[in-house]
Amino acid sequence: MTLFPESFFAILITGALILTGIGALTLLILLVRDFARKKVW
Amino acid sequence: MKYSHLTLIVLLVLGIAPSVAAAQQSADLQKLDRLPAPRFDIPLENQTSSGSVKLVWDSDYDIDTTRVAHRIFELQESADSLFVTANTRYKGPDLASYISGLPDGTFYYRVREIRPSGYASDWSPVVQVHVEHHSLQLAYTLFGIGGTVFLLTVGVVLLGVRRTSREQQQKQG
Amino acid sequence: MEHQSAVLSANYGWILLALLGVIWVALGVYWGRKAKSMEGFMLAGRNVGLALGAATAMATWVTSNTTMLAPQFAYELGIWGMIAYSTAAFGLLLFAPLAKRIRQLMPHGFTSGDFIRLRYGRTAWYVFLAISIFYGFTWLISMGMAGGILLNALAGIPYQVGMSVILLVCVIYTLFGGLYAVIGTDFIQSLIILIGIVIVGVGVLSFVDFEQSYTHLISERPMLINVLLPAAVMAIFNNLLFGIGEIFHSNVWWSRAFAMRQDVGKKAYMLAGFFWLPVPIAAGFIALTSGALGINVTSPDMVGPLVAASVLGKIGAIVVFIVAFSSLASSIDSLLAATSDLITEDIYRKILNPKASEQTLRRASAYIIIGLGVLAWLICLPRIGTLGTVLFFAGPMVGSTIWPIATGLFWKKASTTGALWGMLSGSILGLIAYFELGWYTASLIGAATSMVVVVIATAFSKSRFDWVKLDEAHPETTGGSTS
Repeated sequence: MTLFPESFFAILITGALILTGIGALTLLILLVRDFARKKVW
Repeated sequence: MKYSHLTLIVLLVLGIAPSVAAAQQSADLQKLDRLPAPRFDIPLENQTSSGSVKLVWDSDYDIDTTRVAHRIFELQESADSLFVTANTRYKGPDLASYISGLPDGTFYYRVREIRPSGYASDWSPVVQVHVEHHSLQLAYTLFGIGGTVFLLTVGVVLLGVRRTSREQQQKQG
Repeated sequence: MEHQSAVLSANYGWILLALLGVIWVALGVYWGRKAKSMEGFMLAGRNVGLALGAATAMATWVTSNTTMLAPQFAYELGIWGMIAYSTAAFGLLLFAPLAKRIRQLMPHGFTSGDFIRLRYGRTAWYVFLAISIFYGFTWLISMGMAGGILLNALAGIPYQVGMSVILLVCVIYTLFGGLYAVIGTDFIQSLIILIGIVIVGVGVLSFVDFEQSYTHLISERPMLINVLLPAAVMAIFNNLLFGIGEIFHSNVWWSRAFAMRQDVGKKAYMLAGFFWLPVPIAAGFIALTSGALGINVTSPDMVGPLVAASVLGKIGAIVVFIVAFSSLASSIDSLLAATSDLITEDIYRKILNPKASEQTLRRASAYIIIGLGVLAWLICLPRIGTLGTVLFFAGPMVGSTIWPIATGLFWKKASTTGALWGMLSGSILGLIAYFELGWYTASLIGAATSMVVVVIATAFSKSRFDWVKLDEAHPETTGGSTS
């Protein structure tokens, strides 16, 4: 049985959590930018 | 959380009202010969190709839902039907456990009830779970067909985008 | 009786339910004031910017399945299960270039049905409408049922009450605010979902580290970290193609492509895809820590909330409740809006009443939203568990639309014969595969069959489609006030 190594397990999950956080931040930044350019709607 | 509740209750019972605890214990002693083994609510022989199985059990003894949280069931797993080397998969008040990630092979399960005073019932009849994962050959075949359809779809979209944007540039230019 | 108690007390459940309901309705009504014309109501004025565009695509694709089923996937199919789930992001990524193309070819388009009708003619259009409405409606029902079951499991709120409240709230704000309300609430809901998932994930990791979880998995559930878990390897492209089929054909995604500004669509869908990609892993992995944390799982669909609540206590349970409610609402509202648009535009206006005035259309659309809501509610009411599997019948059907849509947008030679027979044969063979071979082959066979038929038909096709025909002037848009 070939197992995923522990490092892969850790990197996959840490990476996913960081990316999810970045996603939320990017959305906020984009909204502020759209507001500034009056291009929200 | 469930464990801490349990300890709290046990401490309360033992500490604040030792007489109640003693009474409970003697009641347990009296009922000892009547504490039946729990039984599984699933067939005794099971097959799975995903490596997952839901074990459900119940007890005929004292079907009083308010007290069920105070009860402890112990679920054991073994690779041999005689449980020479057994592994406790669960110990607590729940009446089911969803086991997943089992490799190919046959696994045996049994459950018993343990009273707070330490008395244990007999073991339940043994449930057998036979795990045989899908063949890797089938998996690779489906993987291959699916991968091909996916890549061709990506190809249609990307080539389409390239060609149509070139056409548009020509129209404008 | 398997003895698994709710993770949150009913009191908190009721308060949260009331609070969230009032907030979404209030916001929907507030944004709805922008929706003065039919185009505003259906397509939010075709002026949606990048932030809202990306958020709405992301949030809609995060259903309660993503936040609740991802842990179940991880619990049953392990690391591969999470990765397989997150590949559904490819649907959004691949749709990005389509969104741009759609907006270019059909600046006045309203629905995905418009495209099929103009591109392939009426017969193919009828088949497409049948597939699309079946899919939209079964998805709506499965979300309504999931809502009732979830609120019941999380806080002990009776199934009927939870299901009714969540449907009612979504119907009301979609009714008042149309796509404006849907997109506006989607933005807030995406932030809630993303932040909630990070809070729970980081919280769980502060109680158990990777080494503990991993060691426990090796000894107790080794297949979950196996590189070659057959069930997962087998299912990966079936899921992926199901997801691509859902996004390519459904008016949920087309209406957003029409609603976004000309230069925004492609970027918004790309961003949404990248935002979505890590979500199933970030939300799902907590299931893999349950063993190391000593949490017994009695039912795999509750493993996510169970772990969150066991580790983070009341706060964890509240966060899970809010995330679950948000992911449900962001999908139900989109489905209500997009399905009612499809029925209003394609069936009511194009078939039943072509001369309908804008006011009549608006009224018809309102009745259709209410009708959809009531019908979904009636079907959800008896809580028939097996109904959930009906959604999987949609898998081969939507899979069979991938090639007709993709080639229809890019190949002049793509023909009506290919599209029509591709959808029919793909759906039928896919359904046969579902019953004969197993669910994990249905979408795959549906898509593959349809692909072969479309390619063969195109090879023999003599038609050369004129793209200009796709730009159909609409009575309301002839005033020239848009785009």
